Amino acid sequence: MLANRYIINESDKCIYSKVQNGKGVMICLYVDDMLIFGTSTNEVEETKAFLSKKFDMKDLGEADVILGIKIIRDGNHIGSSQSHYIEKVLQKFNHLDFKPISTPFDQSVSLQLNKGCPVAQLEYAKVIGCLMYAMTCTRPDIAYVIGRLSQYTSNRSEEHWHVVKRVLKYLKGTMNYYLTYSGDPSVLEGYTDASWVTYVEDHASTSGWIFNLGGGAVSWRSKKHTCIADSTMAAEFIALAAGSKEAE
Amino acid sequence: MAPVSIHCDSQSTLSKAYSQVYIGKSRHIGLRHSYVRDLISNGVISIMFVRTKKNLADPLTKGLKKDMVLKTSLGMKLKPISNWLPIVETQPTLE
Repeated sequence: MLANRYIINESDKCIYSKVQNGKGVMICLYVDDMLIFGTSTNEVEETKAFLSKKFDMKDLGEADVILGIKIIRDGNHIGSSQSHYIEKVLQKFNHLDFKPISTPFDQSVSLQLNKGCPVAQLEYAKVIGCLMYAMTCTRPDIAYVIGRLSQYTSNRSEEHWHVVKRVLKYLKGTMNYYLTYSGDPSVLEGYTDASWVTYVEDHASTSGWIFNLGGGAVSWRSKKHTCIADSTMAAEFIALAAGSKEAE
Repeated sequence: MAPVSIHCDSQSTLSKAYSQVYIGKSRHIGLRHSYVRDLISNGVISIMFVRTKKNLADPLTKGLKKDMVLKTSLGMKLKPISNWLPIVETQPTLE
């Protein structure tokens, strides 16, 4: 690849690009899947021909689903959706005919460690795993509650199950949501926030940051702090530092 | 390259980030302060104030109310597919 003047992206080694006279091609690799972007169809066709000479590959045409994420084209917008995946998850855990709820998490519920013996641990771990995949790919809105719930995977009580149910119900109502990108504005915008002492048992705060590019969210995280902040300002500052790290 | 603008909803954090020295007692905040200071002076980031109501990172740190959930989701451009044919009834209903 490099011999043919493709350049490796330094921050993500799976991306190769080649730009010549204002025309460019980008290739994204993930294990055995590949996406090719180009400024024109000609460029893409050329790249395909070049690659198929060197490697044994199958052309699946215009990209539809990659890594379980559906690519949606809507006018001049492009979007990524996981509605089919979420539907499958709901079906798997028999939540397809529950009444939808409009918020993922009720602030008045205080989740605490279970002092008793664990209940249906495997099922809980399974549902958290499924939801976490949706969360990391296309659903920043449930990041907080998933992060919160996953801390009790080793020992959960009945109360935690109710919260999981609520998330499933929320997802049912918002199953058809997808992240859209319109390409405008084309600058990176970051947002950071923190909430002070969200965890009653160990006084830890939570921080969150999100980056928007081309209108849609591209990167996000909700994280429990590793150190204890003594004020709201300190908590916000920790969030700011974490967000800046990603920006760098 | 233009600095990446990061929005923050706390005025005191903002002024702390732009002040030269940190006079607090805790070392873990001091460390982060010098780190953020470094990034600002190197032109990697710039920090701006945003109202809490417009902060998109809000749902990542706490459970929000219904209207805020909708608003922030829209801010992230997380929205329903317009021409999606639901297999089951998926309209959110009032609680």
